[in-house]
Amino acid sequence: MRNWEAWVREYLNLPRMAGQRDERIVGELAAHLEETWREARARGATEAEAEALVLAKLGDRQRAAAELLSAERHHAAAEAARRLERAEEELRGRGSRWTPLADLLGDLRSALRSLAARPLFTAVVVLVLALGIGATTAIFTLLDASVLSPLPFPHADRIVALGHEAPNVGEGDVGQCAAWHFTYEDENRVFESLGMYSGRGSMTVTSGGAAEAVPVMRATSGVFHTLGMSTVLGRLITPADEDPDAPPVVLLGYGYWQSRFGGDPGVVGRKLDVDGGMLEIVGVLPPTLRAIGQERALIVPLQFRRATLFVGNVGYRGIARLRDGVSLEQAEADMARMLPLAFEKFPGGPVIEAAKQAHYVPHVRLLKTELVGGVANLLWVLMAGVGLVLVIACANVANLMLVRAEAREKEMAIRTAMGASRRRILREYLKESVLLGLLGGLAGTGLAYAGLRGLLALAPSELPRLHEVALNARVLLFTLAISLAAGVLFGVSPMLRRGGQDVVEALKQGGRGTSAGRHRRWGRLTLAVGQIALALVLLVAAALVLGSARSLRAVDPGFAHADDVLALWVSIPGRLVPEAADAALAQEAIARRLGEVAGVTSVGMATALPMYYGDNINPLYVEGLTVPGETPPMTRRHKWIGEGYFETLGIPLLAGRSFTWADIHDRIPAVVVSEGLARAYWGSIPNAIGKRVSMRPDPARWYRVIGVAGDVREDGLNQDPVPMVYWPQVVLALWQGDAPDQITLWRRTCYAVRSSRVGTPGFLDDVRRAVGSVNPDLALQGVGPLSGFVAQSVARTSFTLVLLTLAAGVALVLGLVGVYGVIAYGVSQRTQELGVRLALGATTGRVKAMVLAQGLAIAGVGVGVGVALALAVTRLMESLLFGVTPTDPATFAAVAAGLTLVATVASYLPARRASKVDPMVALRSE
Amino acid sequence: MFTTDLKRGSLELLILSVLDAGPRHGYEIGKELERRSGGRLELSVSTLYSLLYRMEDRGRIKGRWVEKKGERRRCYYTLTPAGTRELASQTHEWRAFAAMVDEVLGAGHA
Repeated sequence: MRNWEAWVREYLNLPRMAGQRDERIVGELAAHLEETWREARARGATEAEAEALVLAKLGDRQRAAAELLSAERHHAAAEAARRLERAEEELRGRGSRWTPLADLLGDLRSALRSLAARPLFTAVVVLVLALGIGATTAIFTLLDASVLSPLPFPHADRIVALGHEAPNVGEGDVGQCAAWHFTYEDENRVFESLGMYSGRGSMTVTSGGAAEAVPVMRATSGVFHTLGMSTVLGRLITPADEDPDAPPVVLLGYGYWQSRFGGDPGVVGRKLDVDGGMLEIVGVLPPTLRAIGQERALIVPLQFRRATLFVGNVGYRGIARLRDGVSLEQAEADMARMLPLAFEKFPGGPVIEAAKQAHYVPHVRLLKTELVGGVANLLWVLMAGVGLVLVIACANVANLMLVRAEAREKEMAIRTAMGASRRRILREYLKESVLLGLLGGLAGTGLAYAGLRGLLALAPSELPRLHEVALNARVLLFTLAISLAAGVLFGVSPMLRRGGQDVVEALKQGGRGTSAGRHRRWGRLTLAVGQIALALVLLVAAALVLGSARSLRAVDPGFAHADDVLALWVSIPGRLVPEAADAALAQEAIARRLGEVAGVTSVGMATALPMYYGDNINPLYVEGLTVPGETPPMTRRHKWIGEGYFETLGIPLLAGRSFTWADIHDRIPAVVVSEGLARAYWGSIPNAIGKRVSMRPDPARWYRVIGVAGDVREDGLNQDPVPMVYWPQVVLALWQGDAPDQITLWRRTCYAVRSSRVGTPGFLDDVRRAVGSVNPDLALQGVGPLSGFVAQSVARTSFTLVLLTLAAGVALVLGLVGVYGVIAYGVSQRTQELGVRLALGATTGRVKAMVLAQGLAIAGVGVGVGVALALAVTRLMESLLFGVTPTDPATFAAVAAGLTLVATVASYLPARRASKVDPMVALRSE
Repeated sequence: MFTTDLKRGSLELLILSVLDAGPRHGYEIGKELERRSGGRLELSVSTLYSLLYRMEDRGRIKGRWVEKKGERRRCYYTLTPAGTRELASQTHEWRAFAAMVDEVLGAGHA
């Protein structure tokens, strides 16, 4: 015996429906068919005949399934309406206090019914709104997390970042130095507390024979005091810990505590082997430290002997908490007063002359501004972009509503005639549009949720506080607000156009051909023009960013084939190799071992690689050009390199030569300079060879230029090349006050390994083994292809490009649909007129041209307005552009022409329909 | 046999009239329509049941499961008071319309 239920479900391919409905529908069909079959058999039909009869009863299976599902949708809507009705009745039964709510439910019910009756209209409107609201919500979420919400610290509006710059020697923000820090701590009148930290660098933690390099933050106790932080476990760093003779202590970062110690509450008091010393764990910090971009495994105290400090060694980050009521300007003024005091409190040091001449000026910014700074601009531009999309979406929907309002004109006139107040009429219009807005908001939230995952994957890592991104209550409130606003906006549009229209007139003519009808037409045209104008603004913005991306791709970074270069950091701690000269030998050994790895063509080494922040910044004295005490020496960027650096990165040597390891171990008194630096000081590349430079003014120790290398865009593809001095890895008596045999050696260096095997499985293991073969206690730190740094440097442009292109695409489609809708509707309204024209002998070509001209006019005016708007707003994105001006005429012209063209094409379809009007049909319908 | 347009408007009336005689389940309704129309009105099951569900949603008929010993469970449909009123008004309207159509056609052919 056949299971008829299962058979029906499978034959019709029905989805499971909710609860009893499923049982009901499938059960009834099964019973019906079974009886058909049984009766046929009873009449003496063969099995095959009975089967044929059953199939005939079912008819076409697709149609049958569609019919049943449509009935089911109808049922669901009816069921929802019944439920609302019951709720409404119950509320009314509770007394008059509940009447407004009951009325609201009544409105909701009638709006639902009227929307359910027009599923296509509803679906289109909800989709259009969902696109606009979803995009706006997604960007708002990013904006909320990184820009709008305060830093997670008490009274965060009083936490500031302290910086210093020296514009006259070409120095941007150099941050903070210890001498300034202590001067401020002793002398200031504006800060409640201040702190200083360095968030770069790593340390090697050894346990059970395995060495692991982990990121480290070095901070004074004031940092945590200033932020208002407390620990999760144990205690914070205290001023006593800042004494170099104090017992060594360490704090754990929250993430490291979780991952390495499994959140063990008993870690406090344990010892940790860090860089060969045993540090006592005294506390665990909360995860809020991430908010200042310092997600570090270990936090150790910054320790100084005040007697040895001097003005210099900048590059620390300074933060402070302002006293209540102190402004940023007052803080800056107080710092400016204290800066000269630092030279008295901390006299001497290798760069005191240069520091005095540089005339540093302080600048104080809110810590949040410092952290969010440039990204805020990017996010606001994107927010403006998606906001435009939302406005266009609303205009689109408003247009649809206007058309619909026309159909309801008579109904509304009757209501007015029957004494309905303006308010009641407004309510009639609004209830539907607000419901549509809310449905759009709901769908939009879904889109935003899905879209955010994609956004986060794309977002530049400099986008701060990404981990805080979430669809939180505030975001949902925002979405609710814009959904309601959108609903009201396009809901009242028919009402506004209606104005003080004459009821009698409307009743007589149904609105067509009346003054209100003309108003409506203007309303629709205005909306279409507006959509085109806004779409143009977005398209121009996207095109400008696209132009920037193209310019960036064409930029020569100064080095070659970054894909094939692996970058890795290795640091050689003093406990493993105490003598600097020996450490340099170990560095060479590592380079040689790396060079022996299969597939490696060359290896270079430097204190920092291009696009990887970490160059040394110091004044450079040039023989014959910078006279100590007279000309302030320009501050320059410096790298210390090993053999093969230029060769490995593909930086051309334009003149002379670079260093070999033999030169380096011989302490060769020579440097290589970049082309830009050579031209700046000596006018030409050949002129530079043989000239001498020094890091110290008096007595200078001269280093002769032996080579000139090509310029490199050290700070990113979108930044100018940086003039650079390349020093040999080992240098003697470099700084002011160094003994003649004093070696300066950087123990933490970055290796560049060129190989076509970069990124292939196994290569990294080979590299790790090569480094380990020199000393098993050495750990690799921060490994990645150089191309990653390059991509990172243009991440902001890529991110903006993707988002603006998406926004512009949506805007374009919506705008075109808007133009199409207006023209098509106009054609349908003018069928009779067109019929008359055709009957009187107008050619179809003429009619077509007439309608097309209308489309062209809308497009033309829209583009004109859009260009004016775009000229005003694109300058806001200047900082996001590269190689194109915000008012690039070619971009504007191309976008304007393209948009006019496609908008005209969009009106071609209705134009064709207009030319095919049958005069007889058109006239008969009068 | 008849155009779908013609059938669509009148099917609901026909089902209401079948149920006027008393509760029936879906199969019986189909059979009865066939019988009364002399086999000229044969509905596919999906058309029949989707129509029944819509009528139920509009509150004109009500379906109820009935179990009889040794038989399959069946859903029996009954006219609601609203359905009875609807039947009266639609019957009246249809008769008036049909009479008018007859008259017009008759006049033309006279």
